Amino acid sequence: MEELRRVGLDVPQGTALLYELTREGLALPAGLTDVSDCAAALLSLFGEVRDE
Amino acid sequence: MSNVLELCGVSYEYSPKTPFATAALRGVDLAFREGGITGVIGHTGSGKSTLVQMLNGLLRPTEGRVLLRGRDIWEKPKEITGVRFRVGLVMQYPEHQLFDATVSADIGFGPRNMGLSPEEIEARVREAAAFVGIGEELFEKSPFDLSGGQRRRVAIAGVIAMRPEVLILDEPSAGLDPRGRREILTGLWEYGKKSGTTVILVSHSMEDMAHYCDDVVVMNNGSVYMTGSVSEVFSRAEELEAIGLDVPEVAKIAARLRRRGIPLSGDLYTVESVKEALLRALRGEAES
Repeated sequence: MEELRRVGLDVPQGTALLYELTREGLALPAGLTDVSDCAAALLSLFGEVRDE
Repeated sequence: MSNVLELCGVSYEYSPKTPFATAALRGVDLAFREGGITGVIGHTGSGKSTLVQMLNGLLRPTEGRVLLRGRDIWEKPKEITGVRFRVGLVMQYPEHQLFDATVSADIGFGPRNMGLSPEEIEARVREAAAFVGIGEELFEKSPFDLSGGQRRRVAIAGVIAMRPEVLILDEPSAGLDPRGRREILTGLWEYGKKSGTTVILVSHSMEDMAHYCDDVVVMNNGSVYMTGSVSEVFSRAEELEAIGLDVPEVAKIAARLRRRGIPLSGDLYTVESVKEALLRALRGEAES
């Protein structure tokens, strides 16, 4: 993520959100790009599971 | 806050009274408030570019009126050039219109046309260049020796140097990489806020609207489909999706979490705002 930003590139917003939260010390997977996957990962922080 | 520009029942037709007649705008009523940054968004062909060309008199409405501080800009057609100094329009890919030998001469072209003194022109060139982040060491260079992003900024500075009351930019970040896009849009946001100039920004990007605009106008099929503050417009995601537009990705993520009962509140459509809301919720802080 930082390497991509250093060369002036962007990543999907969901990916950026998870990355920023990881920097705050939260345990989240890296490299998720899909909205549903990102939402599911964030739900897990609250003890919730994704709804299919 | 008062309105600086208003459209009252504005319609426009290309090639009227011919077999190729095409209605580009249909009965548009719209107001732009003084000092605000307003985004205009819509699909290709929705009427965005026609709309902004109405605002500085490049196109004349087939029907309706365009008011600048309450006065019809077409009341005295011979004075329309004066309107174009007051309402500056930066077209798409404005760097294609650079032509002067040096950066400073190109930025000073508009002020020279306004008949200003050399001292005033120089002061405005310095001021405008500073706003867009063009250093004075580039002043004597040919614009054609600069990078694409720098040329774009020089072209924007040329319009800012006329100190327009309203600055309109049609897709100012088109074709730039993400860093170039951020630099241009952040510079324009700072310019709008520091100078108090009303800024109108045409864009395809909902993310850009979320980051840089106070208000949003959504155009569809030549009409105003929706208008309001950024949060008002983004709260109507389903209506936006109905015309094929999208809300920012993080707004969708926040909406999904809210539907599952995660207590997130506030206007959540940027990475920073969603991050902060999530951290507050995880800490169990009460949401306002």
